[in-house]
Amino acid sequence: MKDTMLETPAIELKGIRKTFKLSDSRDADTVLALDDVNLSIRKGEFLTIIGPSGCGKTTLLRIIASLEEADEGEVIVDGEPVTEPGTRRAMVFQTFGLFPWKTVIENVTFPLMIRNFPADEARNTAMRHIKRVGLEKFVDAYPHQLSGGMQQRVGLARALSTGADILLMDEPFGAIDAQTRELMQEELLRIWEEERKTVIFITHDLDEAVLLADRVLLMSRGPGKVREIIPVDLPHPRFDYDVRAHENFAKVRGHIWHQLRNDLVQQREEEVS
Amino acid sequence: MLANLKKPSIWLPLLSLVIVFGGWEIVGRSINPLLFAPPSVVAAQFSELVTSGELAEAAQITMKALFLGYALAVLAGIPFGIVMGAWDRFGDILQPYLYAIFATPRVVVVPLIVVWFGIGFEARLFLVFFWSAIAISVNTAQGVRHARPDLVEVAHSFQASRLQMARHVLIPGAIPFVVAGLRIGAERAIVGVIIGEMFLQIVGLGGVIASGSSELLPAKMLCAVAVIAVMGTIIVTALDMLERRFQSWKGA
Repeated sequence: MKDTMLETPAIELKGIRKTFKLSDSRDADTVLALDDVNLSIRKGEFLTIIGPSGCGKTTLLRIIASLEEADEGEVIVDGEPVTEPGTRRAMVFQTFGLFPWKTVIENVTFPLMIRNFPADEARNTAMRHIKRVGLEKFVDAYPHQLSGGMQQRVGLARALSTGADILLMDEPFGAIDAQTRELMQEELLRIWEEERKTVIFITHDLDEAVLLADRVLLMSRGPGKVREIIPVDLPHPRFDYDVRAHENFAKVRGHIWHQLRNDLVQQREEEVS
Repeated sequence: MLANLKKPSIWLPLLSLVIVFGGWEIVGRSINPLLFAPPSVVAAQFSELVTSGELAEAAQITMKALFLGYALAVLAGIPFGIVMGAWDRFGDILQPYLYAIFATPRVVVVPLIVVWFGIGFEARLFLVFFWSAIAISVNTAQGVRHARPDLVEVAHSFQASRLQMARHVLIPGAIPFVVAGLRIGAERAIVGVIIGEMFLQIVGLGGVIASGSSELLPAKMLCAVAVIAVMGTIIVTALDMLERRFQSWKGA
């Protein structure tokens, strides 16, 4: 425990604040999307972020990815403040983000090609990760020929093959059917257990949040704030036993649901009045 | 996937052809031959036009203006469309004129073209070029403007440069729109060339129709119409297939 306290965090957020304009006009009303978010994520930690819709969780992830700029505050990756996307962070997108005109292998090699890797090296790296996600038979297929689950496996292989040690995942399994989703959660954890990359994983699925995480970050809305960070004490590898039947799973899940529910009820009352 | 396309039935179109041509033959024989011709007479006329070389010569004239005008339209329309799409203001400035051109019947500018280019080959070439190029550039501009923001973001997150962004995201994303523009442009080019041949200088396949009309030879007119129809169908079908080939590029 002491070691992790002394180590430089993989990611630190300091006083992140973000407002959005409600329209393009100069004097448009603004909404506060994120208010003073502070967070420190250990190297190799699997952090899931959950909260009611509109709590700014996706905005927070996009700010960590430098796809969006915070109005105030800093994103610090491995001790260095960042403002542009970098090679240490790789994003996995909710809608997969695959280029429809590129085959599986071309999609996976894309980030490496952008960085001018030699073609055969890029190909070998990509092939290794395509095999890991079990798509070696579909190397030359186009995205529209694949199911949603397969497409997201390509998205995962692409993020992994960049060699980034931080994976930023924005509801990656949200658009995938429930059974495939469970399989992919298992695969993701298996890969994570092998490499111990730092993962920040946005989800709106409570089970998923608890199942995957070392810690669950619960956000509240209006404006988006860190409400609570809940450690999940469940042994790894988690799919070697019935993790959902574990008493800690139920405890953590119940605790988070209780708070989420309060938020949702409150939100409903505001909408009604 | 190609395998998903339904295989078109061959029997229904064939049956429809038999019924239509049979009915046409029966009706055609009972009408004054100065006004209408049954398929048998059209066929005889067709072989006469072919042996005399009149049809081949006419088709050659038509194709020359059509292909040259269309090629120029592609060469000018695509770069113009890229500029229009990439530079918003330029597109905004041109928009009212393009809308006006789209909404105006093509024939109204025929007299203007006569003033500018006379009635010869250049005039027909311009007629083909103009409408075709507009359709191609408007579609290209749309393709450039409608780059998928999610894919732009993906490329950005992997630190693509502007040039890499253009090469890997913007250009491939615009291709389905450009190809759609090529098909619409071809349709317009065919209409343009025939209008030119019927109303400017009476030559080519359009000219065969015009002269058939003044000579009261309906069979001759129908021969030219058939050739134009076949030619147009081949061109548009080919481009339609190309368009479908790129359909999946619009979204995964």
